[in-house]
Amino acid sequence: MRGLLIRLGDRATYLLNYMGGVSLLSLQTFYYGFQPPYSLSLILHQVDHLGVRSIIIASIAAIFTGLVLALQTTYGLARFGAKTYVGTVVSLSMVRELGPVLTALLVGGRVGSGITAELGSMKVTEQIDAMRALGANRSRLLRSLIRSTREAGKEAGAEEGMGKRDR
Amino acid sequence: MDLLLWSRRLSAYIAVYSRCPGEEEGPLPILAKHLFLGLRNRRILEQKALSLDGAEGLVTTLEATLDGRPVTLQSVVVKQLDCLYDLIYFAPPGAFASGLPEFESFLSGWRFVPAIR
Repeated sequence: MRGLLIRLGDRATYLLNYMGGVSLLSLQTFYYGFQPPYSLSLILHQVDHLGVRSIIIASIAAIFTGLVLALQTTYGLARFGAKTYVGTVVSLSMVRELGPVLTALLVGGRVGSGITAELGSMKVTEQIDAMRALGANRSRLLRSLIRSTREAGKEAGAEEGMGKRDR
Repeated sequence: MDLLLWSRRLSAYIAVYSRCPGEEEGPLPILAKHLFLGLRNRRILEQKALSLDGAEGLVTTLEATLDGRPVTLQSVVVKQLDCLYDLIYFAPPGAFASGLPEFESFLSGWRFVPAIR
């Protein structure tokens, strides 16, 4: 009984740790995603790499799914003499329903696996460690220094003002 | 931060930051560029080479904004042996010129001394 409880506790701890890690990662992703500097060229590169280059695979999937859907719908509707509605049914179902779902799945899978593979190779070749080391620590230090000196200046100014009033 | 000097009158600061061995590698212009990451609306007014006690350095004067407020900086990035030094003077734009001679005097008095083992 005690062993079971310990195992359950371990599992729960592991799960909480995992969820905490994922939450932290998500928070950091959002936080650093909106932190300057913003590089327009890098953003455009990613738009091209992740978006534009996924058009072909998404189009191929859409074309073949549409073909199959049209074929099967034709068989089904022919029994009722409603072949003329095939175009409407297929286009509506593809554009409104299947198209976005398939595109999301395909592009998500392609992009996700691509990013994971790239990050994996960067980790193995220690590029991530190098970036952390580069990590703009000096720039962060400079920014925090300017901010803190401004705060200190404000406080000193306030104290000075109070001193003058006291006098 | 190794050293911070403050002029209360000008709200101007001189800061020195050093790392041994230097945390970053690369040519001085790149190292200077890294220093200013995160500052917005950067405008380099002047950038030139400088010899600081015999070591090769790069002095950069720029205007920028941080949190929407303007700041003017002059930085000297120097690599000496395997150390990297950032000597930075910054002040509000209106007070920058008044404190600059102090920073230049600070730079002219800069000496590298052998490390004490």
